[in-house]
Amino acid sequence: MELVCIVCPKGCRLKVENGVVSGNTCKKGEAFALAESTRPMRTVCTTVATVFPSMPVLPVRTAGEIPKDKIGELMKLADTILVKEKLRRGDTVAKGVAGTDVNLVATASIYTD
Amino acid sequence: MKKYGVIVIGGGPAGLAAAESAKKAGAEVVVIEREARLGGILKQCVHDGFGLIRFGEKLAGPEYAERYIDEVKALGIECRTLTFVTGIEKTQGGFVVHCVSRDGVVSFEGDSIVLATGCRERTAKQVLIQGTRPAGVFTAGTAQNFVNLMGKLPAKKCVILGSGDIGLIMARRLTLEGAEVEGVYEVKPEPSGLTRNIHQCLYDFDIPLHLSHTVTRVFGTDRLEAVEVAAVDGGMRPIKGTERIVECDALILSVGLIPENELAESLGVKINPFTKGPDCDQSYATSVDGIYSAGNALNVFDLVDYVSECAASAGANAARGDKDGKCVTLSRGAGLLSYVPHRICLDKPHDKVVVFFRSAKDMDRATLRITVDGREVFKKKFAFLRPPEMQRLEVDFSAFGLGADSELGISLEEN
Amino acid sequence: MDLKSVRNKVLRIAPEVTVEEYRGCVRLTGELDSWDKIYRCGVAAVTKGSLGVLNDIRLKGFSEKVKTPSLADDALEGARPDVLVVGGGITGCAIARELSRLDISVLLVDKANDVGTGASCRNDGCIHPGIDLHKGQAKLHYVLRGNELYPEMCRELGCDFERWTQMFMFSTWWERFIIAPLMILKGRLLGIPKVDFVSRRKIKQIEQTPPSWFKGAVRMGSAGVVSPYKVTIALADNAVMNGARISLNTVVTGMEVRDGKVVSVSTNRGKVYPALVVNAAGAFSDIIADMAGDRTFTIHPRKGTDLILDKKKAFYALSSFARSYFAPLPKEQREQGHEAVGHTKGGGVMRTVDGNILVGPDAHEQPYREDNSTDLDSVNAIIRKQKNVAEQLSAGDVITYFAGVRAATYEEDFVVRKGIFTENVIEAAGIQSPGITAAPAIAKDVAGWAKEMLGAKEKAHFDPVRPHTPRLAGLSAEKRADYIAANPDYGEIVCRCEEVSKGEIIDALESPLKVCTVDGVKRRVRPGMGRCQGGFCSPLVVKIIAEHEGIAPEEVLKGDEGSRILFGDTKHAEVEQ
Repeated sequence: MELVCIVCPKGCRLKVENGVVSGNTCKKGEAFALAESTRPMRTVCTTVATVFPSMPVLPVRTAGEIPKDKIGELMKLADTILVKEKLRRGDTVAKGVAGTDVNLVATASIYTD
Repeated sequence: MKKYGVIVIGGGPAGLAAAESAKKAGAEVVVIEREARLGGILKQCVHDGFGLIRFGEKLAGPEYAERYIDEVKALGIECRTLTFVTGIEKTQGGFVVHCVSRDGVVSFEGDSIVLATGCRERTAKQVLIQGTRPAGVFTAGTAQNFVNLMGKLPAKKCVILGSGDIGLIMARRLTLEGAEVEGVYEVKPEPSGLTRNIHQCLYDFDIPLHLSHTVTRVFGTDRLEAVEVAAVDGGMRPIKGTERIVECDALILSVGLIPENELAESLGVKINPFTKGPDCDQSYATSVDGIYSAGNALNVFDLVDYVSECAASAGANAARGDKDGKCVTLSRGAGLLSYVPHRICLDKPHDKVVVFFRSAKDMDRATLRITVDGREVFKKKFAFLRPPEMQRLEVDFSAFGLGADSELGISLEEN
Repeated sequence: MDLKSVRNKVLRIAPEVTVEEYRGCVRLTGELDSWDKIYRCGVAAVTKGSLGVLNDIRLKGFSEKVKTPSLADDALEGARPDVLVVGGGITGCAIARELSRLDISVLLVDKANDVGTGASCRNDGCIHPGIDLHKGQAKLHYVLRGNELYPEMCRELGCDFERWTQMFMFSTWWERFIIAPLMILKGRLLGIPKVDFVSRRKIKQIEQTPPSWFKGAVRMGSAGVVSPYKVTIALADNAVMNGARISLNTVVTGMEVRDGKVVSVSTNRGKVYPALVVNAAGAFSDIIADMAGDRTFTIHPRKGTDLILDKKKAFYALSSFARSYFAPLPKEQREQGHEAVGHTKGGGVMRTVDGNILVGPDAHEQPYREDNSTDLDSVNAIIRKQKNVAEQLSAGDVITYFAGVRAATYEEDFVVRKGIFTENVIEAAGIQSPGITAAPAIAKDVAGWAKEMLGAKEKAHFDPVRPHTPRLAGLSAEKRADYIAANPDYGEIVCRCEEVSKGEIIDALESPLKVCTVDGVKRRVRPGMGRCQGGFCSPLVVKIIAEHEGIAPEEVLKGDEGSRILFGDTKHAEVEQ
């Protein structure tokens, strides 16, 4: 299996043969290639609705990676969330999303003026 | 009038980094930002991947920006938002920056200025797309603003022209938000964005990438109804007979960024024809004493981490305010698309000069060479180079025995 | 009229065409498969002693989907205005304003969602001196008078007007010695003021970068520039201020004519019973004239394209100039069979009143009345051609381009007259270039006839002055500060390229003729007109319009109905709660 590493902007071209990774220039690349050949994982970034007119949507991301095949489920959840508190960057928006133990966290602080 | 050491124009990632380092270098600093909030374009870049170099973490755009905003606030740096620069006047002792804001007409006096004015997007007409003028033709950044700041969907089914990073990011973003991305079309034979973005934004979502293709025409008088796409030849001209009509309600363009240097130009700053930003030395000083350039206004970077790095350096140098001195031009040789700096000032420190460059084309193995009077003084090998991916290296120019009349050159050779 | 000679000329082009006399006009019927032939037949049918050409030759397989508003209500049902003006271009709006001086009721209808959306916003805004016209033309009469009326009218309306000269430049010595004196003489004979010669020495004081081939020029000191759509809008605003009613999104679908009189006019918004109908329908004016039973002319649409350059390139032209077309271009610079020579001066380079450089236009005959699309061949040809004039011009200078359709008649003259076959109609039709220049004068005549026909009196309190906010970016710091102190929104810049404030945008939204669209605001106060073409400010403008009008951002239109910009929320949490 040949793939391009998406861990960092370098974009190393990786090869996985019988569980052995080549072409990587760092440890993270190796881990990425192994996951990608078994169960690909992704960090997902999106927004959720808020009640604040100055910031109708709040940017969020998964605090860690979730399985790629769970992205759809996460997006459905994000569609239903309504933020009513003045959250700060890093605050948890939803816990254990899409059947994982990964939280959804705010990547910006709610801004009101 | 209160006098500042450094006036930073622009409160995006470059301006914030410049302000922070200028303040830490002891200068009295003011940041002038035309928008209501600091953070620049990062506010709407909700995707992650920022900060790997700077913080060792993959942050979303707003997170990256807020870390700098917090620091700028902690340092007590004065920030004027919703303040628009209408002109800069050169005075005997420095500069006066004229602005308007909701408070009226305001001016700031300072010794030096860091121009961190960012860049703008090339538009549909500027890539000669023809046809009608319906709603539904957006630059990727505008579409990103609608989706990520306003929470509104500008497309249900769209075509994306240009494989620049924002275009790729928007392909994924719109797909996640339920819009259909019919395909991404790129006029060049290679993608313009980072390889990893081609993978995680297009291939992850089965969005087709059509290389050597372009959009030639738009249809629809009120809302966009369709676009015409065509294959292009080696000279990027549409090939007759390959036209295809694609029904869609939006065309999103990611066809290049242009550094915004209208203020710089008004001051007579010399603009580099390849970066389209100011000509600068290793301290990011432009051709006009006291004016520094930072971030995408200087040179369109691929990573915000590099923007912060060079802007921090520009800020610190602006605070120090070294006068221009003896300079050696770094002449452009073969194989390079663009690079900074463009000259080395021998009267300023030049032992740890950060050089950023892009290759002119995809190169599988290449050697970067720096020569003095035709003699090679530095070389570095690269495994593979792509024009969208900027390279960074540090060079000790002090070791080259440079004199005012030395001929200094930089070139890239494929091998 | 010599019908036999006309028939011979037409049949030489297309033997299958029927040529006959109809009510004093030459009428052509039949079907052809080439628009070029149809056009040439029409031109061949022009003859002395005829009222005009009725070119009814059909183009095989051709139909144009003409835009009509889907709106259907009875907002105008039963209305009995003294005057109904059909068409809200500059001609219609100037007429409405003149009519609003009278003590009568005026209704103007336009099918678009704003006034001035046709040719009136798709031209170069040049106020012509009239040097290219001929004695006896209606065009000449109206251009000379219109030109004189402009400065005062613009002062009243609060529109910029500049007397920036026009120059006709010579590239050869023979043109300089033969054409120049002839043109100066022609100017004197036509009564055009301030026509003089500019030598090579003098040009340096006028232009920063004159063309290298410059051998001399004839300068027309009476030329000027305006923003054509701003003037149109200002005329409409002032008409509304003075009691005229403007109904947008309103299309005329038919007229009932009985005993040589228009009895009623059908629209998508109800049936109207006007005492007098003024036809100012531009590219559709022959169709409206036909509905009124008063057609003596045919519109053959002629498209032109103009390019707009970045303000940074303003030094290309401080006046407006073109290269004399008497001497052919050097062989390598010639275009092959691209221009409809004779009906355009071949375009040129000019500085607009807003400080951009505009190059073009070209001219192409087409069957479509509403096809304002641009094409690459035109854009490239204009760049190549005008590079002979502005020699530093490059494709990279272009920020945008647009095309418009001129409402040309085969006689190539305006049709401004009282009805011939219908007594309560006035034609202000076939108005093409230089229609912007002519509009104020046409309006004076039309309003004069209406006054006499209706036996109307002047209004006691007509107010010719349209209050307006000056362009703040052009004010001194002190004056600007005063404005901002009175309204802080004037200090909040929304459009960075054109330096337009939120306050100016809100002013536009509160104009007498309310048009709350992105394009409407753009035409009024310029956000989005600059080099980023609205990339940065369009989300802000959408937000300001939505907030001001109390609507959702997705309800904000770019222009006409159906031009929605957004499709609603990305997230639906709020709806479900």
